[in-house]
Amino acid sequence: MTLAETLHLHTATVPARDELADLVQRAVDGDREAFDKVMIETQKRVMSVAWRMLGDEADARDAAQETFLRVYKYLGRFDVTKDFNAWLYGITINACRDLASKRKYHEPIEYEDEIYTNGSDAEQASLQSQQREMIARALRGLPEKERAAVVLRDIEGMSTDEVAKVLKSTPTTVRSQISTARRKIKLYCDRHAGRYQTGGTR
Amino acid sequence: MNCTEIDELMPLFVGGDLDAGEHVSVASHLVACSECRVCEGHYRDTMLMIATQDAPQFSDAVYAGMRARVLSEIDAHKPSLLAGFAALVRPHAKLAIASVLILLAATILLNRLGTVSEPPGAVATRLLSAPIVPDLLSEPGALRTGLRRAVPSNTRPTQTTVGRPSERRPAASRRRRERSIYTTSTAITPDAAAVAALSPGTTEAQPPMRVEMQTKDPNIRIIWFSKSLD
Repeated sequence: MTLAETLHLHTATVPARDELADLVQRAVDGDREAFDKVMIETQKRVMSVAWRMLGDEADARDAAQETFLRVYKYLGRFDVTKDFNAWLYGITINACRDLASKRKYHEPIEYEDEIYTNGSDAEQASLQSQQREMIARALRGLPEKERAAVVLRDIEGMSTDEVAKVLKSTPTTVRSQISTARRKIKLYCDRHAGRYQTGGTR
Repeated sequence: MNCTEIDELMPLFVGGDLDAGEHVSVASHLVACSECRVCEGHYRDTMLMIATQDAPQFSDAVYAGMRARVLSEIDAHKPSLLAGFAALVRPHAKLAIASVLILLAATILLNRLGTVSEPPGAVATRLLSAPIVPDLLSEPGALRTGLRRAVPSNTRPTQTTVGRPSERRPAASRRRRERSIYTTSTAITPDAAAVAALSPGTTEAQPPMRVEMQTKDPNIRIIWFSKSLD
């Protein structure tokens, strides 16, 4: 069980698997309304992964749009007995990679504090914002494969085997990528720890 | 395990990605090593921050706009009827359809080449329309006997034969032989051309006859010619 699972920190709502499978089956059969519902059910996860991969809202929107167009295009080839979410993640990651390769460079991520002001304590919110910025920058500095592996494993809460299937890789390779990615993120955070880290053992 | 080895395994240890044996080894080391515990704490802080890395909460309008663009894009590139059918048909069905089409094409091709068995009526018709042999008719001796023309041995062309008989035979010849396979039958036809050739001006004479018998051996066809009956 991952840390994210332990803490119940997933932001995107995961639809009931049977319900989604039924919708996917109908969409495969050509039901356009069902396809629209599939989009509604999965759009938050797709956008969330795309944003974490690309670090930009506009790019995430474009990637999500491209993802659903590809889903529609290749829906006829999807084996309904298999996991739709894993297939969807694979398409999302590929769409993000393609989009990132088209972009020559990334604009720096600018976080607006008001987006994250969930709590009443402004100072705490600011600190959280800074932490998120630090993690986002650390993620953005990773090679694509390592970023995809760590996003799917540590943020989306997938198992190593599931990540390997999505990335069409082996569990051993994914484990190595995750290990390297965590080490790099930790080193990046260590450099900024004096300013951002809040609690825990130091 | 020493601290260096533990440091290598730490990223996987804090994520629960080690196998049971390695996990126990690292955990037991951490009990005794305060430096590695500090390192573990840093990793756990980092993991917590990664796990709490929330994506921005996009508004419903953003999602609705994205879906609308997807649907309009789909409408704009609606596939043709044929492409739509192809998309609906599953890969296995496509394979089956392709196999049937290939079989159909092969059957038609073989029919045209004449390698498939023909109905009896078709064989008879073909026998009746068998071509005459003008060279035989032009030689009186051959016409009388119905035998093959005598070819002096010294005038026969010399052939160098290499390989098995089936390999030596040209492909065209093989095809011709294959096409002449049919059941034993006989055809008797009056030969009007021979009438004109043999007895010009004698219109009252009975025409000569040509009798053809095809044996079971496709290579042997017996042809008899009769003179005109004066």
